[in-house]
Amino acid sequence: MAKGPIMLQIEVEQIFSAPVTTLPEVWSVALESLDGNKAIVREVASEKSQGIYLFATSSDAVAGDFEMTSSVMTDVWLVFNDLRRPPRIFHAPSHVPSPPTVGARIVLLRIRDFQFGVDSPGVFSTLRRVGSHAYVDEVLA
Amino acid sequence: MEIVIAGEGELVIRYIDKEGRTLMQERLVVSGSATREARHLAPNTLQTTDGPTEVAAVLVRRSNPRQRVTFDRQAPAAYARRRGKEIGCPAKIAAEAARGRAPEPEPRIGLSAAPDDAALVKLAAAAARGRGR
Repeated sequence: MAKGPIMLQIEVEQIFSAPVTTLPEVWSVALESLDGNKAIVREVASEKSQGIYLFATSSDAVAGDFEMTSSVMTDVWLVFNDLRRPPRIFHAPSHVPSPPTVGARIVLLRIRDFQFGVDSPGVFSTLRRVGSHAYVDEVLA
Repeated sequence: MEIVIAGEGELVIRYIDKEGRTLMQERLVVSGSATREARHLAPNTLQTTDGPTEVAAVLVRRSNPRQRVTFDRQAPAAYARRRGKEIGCPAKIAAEAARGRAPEPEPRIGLSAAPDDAALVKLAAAAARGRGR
Protein backbone atom coordinates (compact mmCIF):
# COMPACT_ATOMS: atom_id res chain seq x y z
CA MET A 1 0.00 0.00 0.00
CA ALA A 2 0.97 3.63 -0.34
CA LYS A 3 -0.57 6.54 1.53
CA GLY A 4 -1.03 8.80 -1.52
CA PRO A 5 -1.05 12.58 -1.00
CA ILE A 6 -0.30 13.72 2.57
CA MET A 7 -0.64 17.20 4.01
CA LEU A 8 1.03 18.20 7.29
CA GLN A 9 0.34 21.60 8.84
CA ILE A 10 1.23 23.17 12.19
CA GLU A 11 0.57 26.67 13.46
CA VAL A 12 1.69 28.14 16.79
CA GLU A 13 0.54 31.52 18.12
CA GLN A 14 1.92 32.98 21.34
CA ILE A 15 0.55 35.96 23.27
CA PHE A 16 2.42 37.20 26.36
CA SER A 17 1.38 39.08 29.44
CA ALA A 18 3.31 42.17 30.47
CA PRO A 19 5.66 40.64 33.08
CA VAL A 20 7.19 38.11 30.65
CA THR A 21 10.76 38.99 29.60
CA THR A 22 11.75 35.82 27.73
CA LEU A 23 9.93 34.19 24.85
CA PRO A 24 10.32 30.42 24.97
CA GLU A 25 11.55 28.58 21.91
CA VAL A 26 8.91 27.25 19.55
CA TRP A 27 9.44 23.53 18.90
CA SER A 28 6.63 21.50 17.39
CA VAL A 29 6.40 18.51 15.12
CA ALA A 30 3.61 16.83 13.18
CA LEU A 31 4.08 13.30 11.99
CA GLU A 32 2.41 10.65 9.91
CA SER A 33 3.24 7.02 9.25
CA LEU A 34 4.19 5.81 5.79
CA ASP A 35 3.96 2.37 4.19
CA GLY A 36 7.60 2.22 3.12
CA ASN A 37 6.90 2.93 -0.53
CA LYS A 38 8.22 5.80 -2.66
CA ALA A 39 7.90 9.17 -0.89
CA ILE A 40 8.32 12.50 -2.63
CA VAL A 41 8.27 15.78 -0.71
CA ARG A 42 6.36 18.09 -3.03
CA GLU A 43 6.52 21.31 -1.00
CA VAL A 44 7.88 22.57 2.32
CA ALA A 45 7.12 26.13 3.43
CA SER A 46 6.74 28.30 6.50
CA GLU A 47 5.21 31.60 7.48
CA LYS A 48 5.87 33.99 10.34
CA SER A 49 4.08 37.06 11.62
CA GLN A 50 5.69 38.93 14.50
CA GLY A 51 6.37 42.44 15.64
CA ILE A 52 8.40 43.50 18.66
CA TYR A 53 8.35 46.72 20.63
CA LEU A 54 11.48 46.67 22.81
CA PHE A 55 12.20 49.33 25.38
CA ALA A 56 13.76 50.04 28.78
CA THR A 57 11.87 51.00 31.91
CA SER A 58 14.81 53.13 33.07
CA SER A 59 16.10 56.19 31.23
CA ASP A 60 19.66 55.28 32.33
CA ALA A 61 19.70 52.18 30.14
CA VAL A 62 20.78 52.25 26.52
CA ALA A 63 19.15 49.73 24.21
CA GLY A 64 21.45 47.65 22.02
CA ASP A 65 20.79 46.65 18.45
CA PHE A 66 18.10 44.07 18.01
CA GLU A 67 16.98 42.22 14.95
CA MET A 68 14.54 39.34 14.65
CA THR A 69 14.34 36.85 11.83
CA SER A 70 11.39 37.12 9.48
CA SER A 71 11.17 33.36 9.00
CA VAL A 72 11.21 30.17 11.02
CA MET A 73 13.22 27.01 10.61
CA THR A 74 11.18 24.24 9.03
CA ASP A 75 12.31 20.85 7.89
CA VAL A 76 10.84 17.52 6.85
CA TRP A 77 12.38 14.25 7.96
CA LEU A 78 11.81 10.92 6.25
CA VAL A 79 12.71 8.29 8.84
CA PHE A 80 13.39 4.56 8.33
CA ASN A 81 12.75 1.64 10.65
CA ASP A 82 16.42 0.77 10.44
CA LEU A 83 17.99 3.41 12.64
CA ARG A 84 21.38 2.73 11.05
CA ARG A 85 19.97 4.31 7.92
CA PRO A 86 20.16 8.08 8.40
CA PRO A 87 16.96 10.08 7.89
CA ARG A 88 16.57 12.15 4.76
CA ILE A 89 16.06 15.78 5.70
CA PHE A 90 14.63 18.53 3.48
CA HIS A 91 14.29 22.10 4.64
CA ALA A 92 11.97 24.93 3.72
CA PRO A 93 11.40 26.72 1.49
CA SER A 94 11.19 24.22 -1.31
CA HIS A 95 8.53 24.25 -3.98
CA VAL A 96 9.78 21.53 -6.32
CA PRO A 97 9.47 17.76 -5.85
CA SER A 98 12.32 16.14 -3.94
CA PRO A 99 14.18 13.09 -5.22
CA PRO A 100 12.15 9.98 -4.35
CA THR A 101 12.88 8.12 -1.13
CA VAL A 102 11.97 4.44 -0.83
CA GLY A 103 11.46 2.68 2.49
CA ALA A 104 10.68 5.57 4.85
CA ARG A 105 8.15 4.70 7.58
CA ILE A 106 7.60 8.11 9.16
CA VAL A 107 7.32 11.60 7.70
CA LEU A 108 7.85 14.35 10.24
CA LEU A 109 7.40 18.11 9.86
CA ARG A 110 9.26 20.25 12.41
CA ILE A 111 8.94 23.95 13.12
CA ARG A 112 11.34 25.90 15.33
CA ASP A 113 11.79 29.52 16.27
CA PHE A 114 14.21 31.18 18.65
CA GLN A 115 13.94 31.73 22.35
CA PHE A 116 14.97 35.25 23.21
CA GLY A 117 14.83 37.47 26.23
CA VAL A 118 15.89 40.76 27.72
CA ASP A 119 17.48 41.67 31.06
CA SER A 120 16.08 44.28 33.42
CA PRO A 121 15.33 47.14 32.86
CA GLY A 122 14.49 45.93 29.36
CA VAL A 123 10.95 44.84 28.53
CA PHE A 124 9.08 44.16 25.34
CA SER A 125 5.69 43.85 23.79
CA THR A 126 5.26 41.19 21.17
CA LEU A 127 3.16 38.41 19.80
CA ARG A 128 4.33 35.64 17.54
CA ARG A 129 2.57 33.51 14.97
CA VAL A 130 4.45 30.84 13.05
CA GLY A 131 3.23 28.14 10.75
CA SER A 132 4.65 25.44 8.52
CA HIS A 133 3.30 23.01 6.01
CA ALA A 134 4.53 20.16 3.87
CA TYR A 135 2.95 18.19 1.05
CA VAL A 136 4.23 14.68 0.57
CA ASP A 137 3.17 12.01 -1.90
CA GLU A 138 3.66 8.34 -1.19
CA VAL A 139 3.19 6.19 -4.29
CA LEU A 140 3.87 2.55 -5.13
CA ALA A 141 7.56 1.98 -5.71
CA MET B 1 6.65 19.55 29.35
CA GLU B 2 5.50 17.67 26.30
CA ILE B 3 2.09 18.12 24.74
CA VAL B 4 1.02 15.22 22.54
CA ILE B 5 -1.85 15.66 20.12
CA ALA B 6 -3.63 12.99 18.09
CA GLY B 7 -5.98 14.26 15.42
CA GLU B 8 -6.74 17.58 13.80
CA GLY B 9 -7.93 20.71 15.51
CA GLU B 10 -7.15 23.86 17.39
CA LEU B 11 -6.03 24.05 21.04
CA VAL B 12 -5.72 27.09 23.25
CA ILE B 13 -3.44 26.68 26.26
CA ARG B 14 -2.84 29.25 28.97
CA TYR B 15 0.19 29.12 31.26
CA ILE B 16 -0.66 30.37 34.74
CA ASP B 17 1.56 31.30 37.66
CA LYS B 18 0.87 30.37 41.29
CA GLU B 19 -1.49 33.30 41.63
CA GLY B 20 -3.53 32.14 38.66
CA ARG B 21 -2.42 34.92 36.31
CA THR B 22 -1.92 33.92 32.68
CA LEU B 23 1.62 34.76 31.58
CA MET B 24 1.41 33.24 28.12
CA GLN B 25 -1.24 31.88 25.81
CA GLU B 26 -0.46 29.45 23.03
CA ARG B 27 -2.76 28.49 20.22
CA LEU B 28 -1.76 25.31 18.43
CA VAL B 29 -3.38 24.25 15.18
CA VAL B 30 -2.65 20.87 13.64
CA SER B 31 -4.24 19.80 10.37
CA GLY B 32 -3.87 17.47 7.46
CA SER B 33 -5.69 14.32 8.46
CA ALA B 34 -7.65 12.72 11.29
CA THR B 35 -4.69 10.46 12.02
CA ARG B 36 -2.23 13.30 12.36
CA GLU B 37 0.00 13.22 15.43
CA ALA B 38 1.85 16.21 16.80
CA ARG B 39 4.15 17.03 19.68
CA HIS B 40 4.87 20.42 21.16
CA LEU B 41 7.45 21.33 23.79
CA ALA B 42 5.93 23.68 26.34
CA PRO B 43 7.68 25.63 29.10
CA ASN B 44 7.53 24.82 32.81
CA THR B 45 9.12 28.17 33.64
CA LEU B 46 8.86 31.63 32.15
CA GLN B 47 11.26 34.49 32.81
CA THR B 48 9.47 37.57 34.10
CA THR B 49 10.36 40.92 35.60
CA ASP B 50 10.21 39.09 38.97
CA GLY B 51 12.65 36.39 37.84
CA PRO B 52 12.00 32.78 36.82
CA THR B 53 8.35 31.89 37.38
CA GLU B 54 6.97 28.36 37.47
CA VAL B 55 3.88 27.91 35.33
CA ALA B 56 1.12 25.35 34.86
CA ALA B 57 -0.43 24.69 31.46
CA VAL B 58 -4.22 24.90 31.30
CA LEU B 59 -6.15 23.66 28.28
CA VAL B 60 -8.91 26.23 27.87
CA ARG B 61 -10.22 25.37 24.41
CA ARG B 62 -10.26 22.39 22.08
CA SER B 63 -12.06 22.81 18.76
CA ASN B 64 -12.36 19.11 18.00
CA PRO B 65 -13.70 16.94 20.83
CA ARG B 66 -12.36 13.85 19.05
CA GLN B 67 -8.83 15.20 19.16
CA ARG B 68 -6.85 13.46 21.93
CA VAL B 69 -4.46 15.58 23.97
CA THR B 70 -2.08 14.77 26.80
CA PHE B 71 0.21 16.99 28.88
CA ASP B 72 3.22 14.99 30.05
CA ARG B 73 1.25 11.78 29.38
CA GLN B 74 -1.65 12.88 31.59
CA ALA B 75 -5.10 14.15 30.76
CA PRO B 76 -4.95 17.97 30.66
CA ALA B 77 -7.34 18.34 33.62
CA ALA B 78 -5.32 15.97 35.83
CA TYR B 79 -2.10 17.65 34.76
CA ALA B 80 -3.43 21.14 35.51
CA ARG B 81 -4.61 20.10 38.97
CA ARG B 82 -1.32 18.37 39.84
CA ARG B 83 0.95 20.99 38.36
CA GLY B 84 -1.12 23.82 39.82
CA LYS B 85 -0.64 22.39 43.31
CA GLU B 86 3.04 21.75 42.59
CA ILE B 87 3.74 25.39 41.77
CA GLY B 88 1.84 26.64 44.80
CA CYS B 89 -1.58 27.56 43.43
CA PRO B 90 -4.33 27.71 46.06
CA ALA B 91 -6.73 24.77 45.80
CA LYS B 92 -9.44 26.96 44.26
CA ILE B 93 -7.16 28.11 41.42
CA ALA B 94 -5.90 24.56 40.79
CA ALA B 95 -9.50 23.33 40.65
CA GLU B 96 -10.43 26.09 38.17
CA ALA B 97 -7.39 25.18 36.05
CA ALA B 98 -8.52 21.54 36.04
CA ARG B 99 -11.87 22.75 34.68
CA GLY B 100 -10.05 24.56 31.87
CA ARG B 101 -10.53 28.01 33.30
CA ALA B 102 -7.75 30.61 33.28
CA PRO B 103 -7.89 34.34 32.59
CA GLU B 104 -6.89 35.87 29.27
CA PRO B 105 -3.31 37.18 29.05
CA GLU B 106 -2.82 40.88 29.65
CA PRO B 107 -0.23 42.07 27.14
CA ARG B 108 1.88 45.18 27.66
CA ILE B 109 0.67 48.13 25.65
CA GLY B 110 2.00 48.07 22.12
CA LEU B 111 1.41 45.23 19.73
CA SER B 112 -1.78 43.30 20.11
CA ALA B 113 -4.12 41.14 18.14
CA ALA B 114 -7.24 39.82 19.74
CA PRO B 115 -7.72 36.10 19.14
CA ASP B 116 -10.78 36.05 16.91
CA ASP B 117 -11.29 32.36 16.22
CA ALA B 118 -14.23 31.95 18.62
CA ALA B 119 -15.97 34.89 16.92
CA LEU B 120 -15.14 33.43 13.52
CA VAL B 121 -16.72 30.09 14.44
CA LYS B 122 -19.92 31.91 15.49
CA LEU B 123 -19.90 33.92 12.26
CA ALA B 124 -19.44 30.79 10.14
CA ALA B 125 -22.14 28.92 12.07
CA ALA B 126 -24.56 31.81 11.59
CA ALA B 127 -23.76 31.89 7.87
CA ALA B 128 -24.30 28.12 7.62
CA ARG B 129 -27.69 28.43 9.34
CA GLY B 130 -28.62 31.17 6.86
CA ARG B 131 -27.77 28.92 3.90
CA GLY B 132 -29.74 26.08 5.37
CA ARG B 133 -33.02 27.98 5.21
